[in-house]
Amino acid sequence: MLAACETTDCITFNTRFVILKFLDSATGDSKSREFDLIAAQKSQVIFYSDTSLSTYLLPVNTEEERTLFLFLNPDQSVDTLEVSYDKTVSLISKDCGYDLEFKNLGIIQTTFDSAVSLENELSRLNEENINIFY
Amino acid sequence: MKKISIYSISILVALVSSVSAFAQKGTVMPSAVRIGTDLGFIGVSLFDPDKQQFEINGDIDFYKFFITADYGMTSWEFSQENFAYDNSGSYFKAGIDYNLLARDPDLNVIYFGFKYAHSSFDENFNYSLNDPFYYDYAEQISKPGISAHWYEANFGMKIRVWKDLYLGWAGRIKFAKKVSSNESLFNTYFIPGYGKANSDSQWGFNYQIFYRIPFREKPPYKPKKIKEKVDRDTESQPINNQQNEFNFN
Repeated sequence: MLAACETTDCITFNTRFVILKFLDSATGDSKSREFDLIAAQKSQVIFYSDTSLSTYLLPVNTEEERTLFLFLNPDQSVDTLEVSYDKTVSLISKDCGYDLEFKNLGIIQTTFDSAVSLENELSRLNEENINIFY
Repeated sequence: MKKISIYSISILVALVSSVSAFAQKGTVMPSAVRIGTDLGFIGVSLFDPDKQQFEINGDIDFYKFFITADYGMTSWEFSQENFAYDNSGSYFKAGIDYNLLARDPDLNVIYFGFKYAHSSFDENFNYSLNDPFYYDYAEQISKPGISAHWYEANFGMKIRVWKDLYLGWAGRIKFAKKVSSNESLFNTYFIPGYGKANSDSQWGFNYQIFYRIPFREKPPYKPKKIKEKVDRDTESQPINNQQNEFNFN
């Protein structure tokens, strides 16, 4: 999102990635979850395939203010997670370019049993935005 | 912030009223108006193809004070491969300066003062994004009719260089900025007269040229105590003479 960043003034901690963390519903510890595929509605690419992780970084659609993520489970069932957010565009400078900031992240709907929204600002300083217990 | 604006305007009105009251009593009458412009802004307009900036400055003297006013216009546009930005608007500033050189025969001025400033402007930002995850897109954001206001503490000097021609510089700190805008999609980038909007305070520097247009001869300044003593001595002189004559007789 930043163009021609040449100075330290161009550094920003804003990101477009939602940090999705899976946890054990019994213990609350991080727990890997396997998916055959993770993508999003209107996405051109598959974000993850045949992966088992406890933390996933999912890019939101920056053109819109909501994104529907699709999770294909090994049993071929599909889970969904739809999030909404507010986008703000900032011009940093002529040389640094512009930056996109996403705030007020919320869960619109999900098929996961228990999803909790934590940090509602998308930042590289965050450790988690949404926790899913299973 | 609205309260601060009301307070500051009230203070300005009170100060202007006080100075006007002095003027009506005849203790201070304005002697000249000084009109000028900022040479730095003219230089920027000549050498920076992206930016056009012009400012006119004026002051009028009341006793040891100056009522000052500035009006400026700015147009700024630039672009890169994936974005374009433009901003155009105007601003005014009004305030009072205190002259530390009120007795100077050349009417040179070293001053400090306080100003209220208000800016009205339009802003447009167009950008495109080559998205590696979703589809590429472009977006146009227009923000017409933005207004902003802030305050300035300033200091500087105006030095006579030839007849009624003065050169001067002014340093200022701008603070307590407030921007009003209905559109939240794009953060305001630049405020004419203030500078980059993402900063809570800004330093500014002006290099100015002025021409003084006198209304009347400015009376030499006399400090109140000396003036009273001179008046008293002048009034008492004939009495003393009479007393002296009486004593001699």
